[in-house]
Amino acid sequence: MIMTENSLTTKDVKVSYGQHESLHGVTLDFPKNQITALMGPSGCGKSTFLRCLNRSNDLLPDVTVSGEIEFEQQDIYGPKVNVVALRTQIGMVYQQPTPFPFSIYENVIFSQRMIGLHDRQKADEIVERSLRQAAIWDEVKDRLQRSAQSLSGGQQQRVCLASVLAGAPEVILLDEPTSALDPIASAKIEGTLLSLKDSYTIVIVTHNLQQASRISDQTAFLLNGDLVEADATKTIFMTPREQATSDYLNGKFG
Amino acid sequence: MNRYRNDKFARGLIYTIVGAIIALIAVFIGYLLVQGWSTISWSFLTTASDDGLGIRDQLFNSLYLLILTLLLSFPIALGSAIALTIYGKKSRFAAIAEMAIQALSSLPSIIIGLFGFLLLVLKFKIGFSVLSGAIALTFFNLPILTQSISLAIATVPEARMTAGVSLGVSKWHTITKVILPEAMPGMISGIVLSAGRVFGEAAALIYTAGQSAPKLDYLNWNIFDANSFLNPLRPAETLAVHIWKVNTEGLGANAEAISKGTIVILILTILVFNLLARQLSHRLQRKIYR
Ligand SMILES: Nc1ncnc2c1ncn2[C@@H]1O[C@H](COP(=O)(O)OP(=O)(O)OP(=O)(O)O)[C@@H](O)[C@H]1O
Ligand SMILES: [Mg+2]
Repeated sequence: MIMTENSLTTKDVKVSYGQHESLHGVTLDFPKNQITALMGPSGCGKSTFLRCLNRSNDLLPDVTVSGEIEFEQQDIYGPKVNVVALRTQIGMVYQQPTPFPFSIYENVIFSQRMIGLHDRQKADEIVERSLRQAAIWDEVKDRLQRSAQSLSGGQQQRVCLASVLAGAPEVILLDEPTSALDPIASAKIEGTLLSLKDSYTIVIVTHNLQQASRISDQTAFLLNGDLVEADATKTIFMTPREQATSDYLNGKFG
Repeated sequence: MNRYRNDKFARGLIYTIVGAIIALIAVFIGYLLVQGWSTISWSFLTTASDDGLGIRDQLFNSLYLLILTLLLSFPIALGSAIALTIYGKKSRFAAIAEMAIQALSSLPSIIIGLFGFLLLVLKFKIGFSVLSGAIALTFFNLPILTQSISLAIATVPEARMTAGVSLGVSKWHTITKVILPEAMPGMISGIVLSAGRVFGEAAALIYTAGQSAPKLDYLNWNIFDANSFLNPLRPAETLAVHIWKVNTEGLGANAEAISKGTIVILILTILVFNLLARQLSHRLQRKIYR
């Protein structure tokens, strides 16, 4: 692989829920301005791993995370880390759309309001730019004051992506963002992600192999809480090293 | 077809039971209203009991105590509910605290009254007063209020917290700007329910707020004057205590009429509370889910 600067690095990350260890030591680096796809069968620990990267696992009771995770050479589990600030830099879109019971407009601008944005014009700009980037502006531009919860699941998902983008993060984590979308909306999101990678580092969990091969630069394959292999997407899809990877790609399980 | 018959039968049974309960309540309240209606008059509501029948001061005392009690208990209950349901979720401490709250909520109110009497009235020398009464009622109200606020918060999906936090919003802001507004309609129902209980409470007040209603001057805003309506250190007999006292002492020929009239006012006030709260809660809900 070509040497590039890494935005996020992880070393031997283990996660336990209570007594049960679900992730058994994953070591993976996320190069800056690239899209990394996480793949693997259901329950292999993709979401668990993703949640470590912005420390949203902290919110679950009884979770222990060990290993090293560094964001721009800083240990994100270190004692002096401001978790709130960290999560503005590493935004996350969840598998289930999670809009707030506010208007679409207020959903998108919410995080900015909380850090003191009151300028009406600036807010309008951010909302429009974010919704455009999330490929939903045309669908909602006439009803920005309607409740975001009145939208369809796929539309909600894109509004959530817009909310993350409004915070101008450096890393965007996406957990199966297109699993509830129709092919057209998915294609829009894919286009968005491709255009965003010039300025963001993106990690996407997906069950859609074509999607991974279309948009990602690097692909990691997880199985039962272990990282089987990670490499350039082309390499993984053309000449995987491990038998398990090629079995998965050929639809033998998962 | 058997299943359908069973279903029909069960539904019929449930409707009958519900109907019977409603009828019972209607008869009960109707009887009290009819009995007390003749006593109700403008002067009944606007004169002091020293001058005859009136319950003006008792009515005011009830409202004053209710407001003070809510002012004291709501912040504490809200804080504990947030601590227990959001910050301390599934912790050992929360489990123990919840058990304590449950135990406290089943404490008989006369015990709270006597406890308030010993601690506030005698030990702290506050005397029979609005303040003693409000503190005792706070003890009485806290467990139920905490429980109902916790319940209202728990109905808000957990995803709100993760969503807020993942946008880089602090936990505190997520709580105050998202979770609490969403829980607001439920919290209001809880507050009103507890307000009804507080408003009708007598046992906890007999030995704390006292059984006398000195004639109040509603134009005297100096809270240090003994006859000022706002003075928190004067004794304050409430409607419920008045009913109790009139009935136990049975003084004068009018005792029965006074008691029946007071009951009507008590019931109507609680009814008005409930209707207002319903309106408010609906309106808030509409505002949130536009
Ligand atoms: N909150 C939780 N509490 C307890 N166990 C959990 C929790 N979340 C995940 N797990 C366990 O961790 C393992 C990995 O789950 P995870 O959600 O990370 O899988 P996934 O790869 O994202 O699956 P999917 O593709 O279905 O989303 C599973 O065995 C699951 O049971
Ligand atoms: Mg998942």
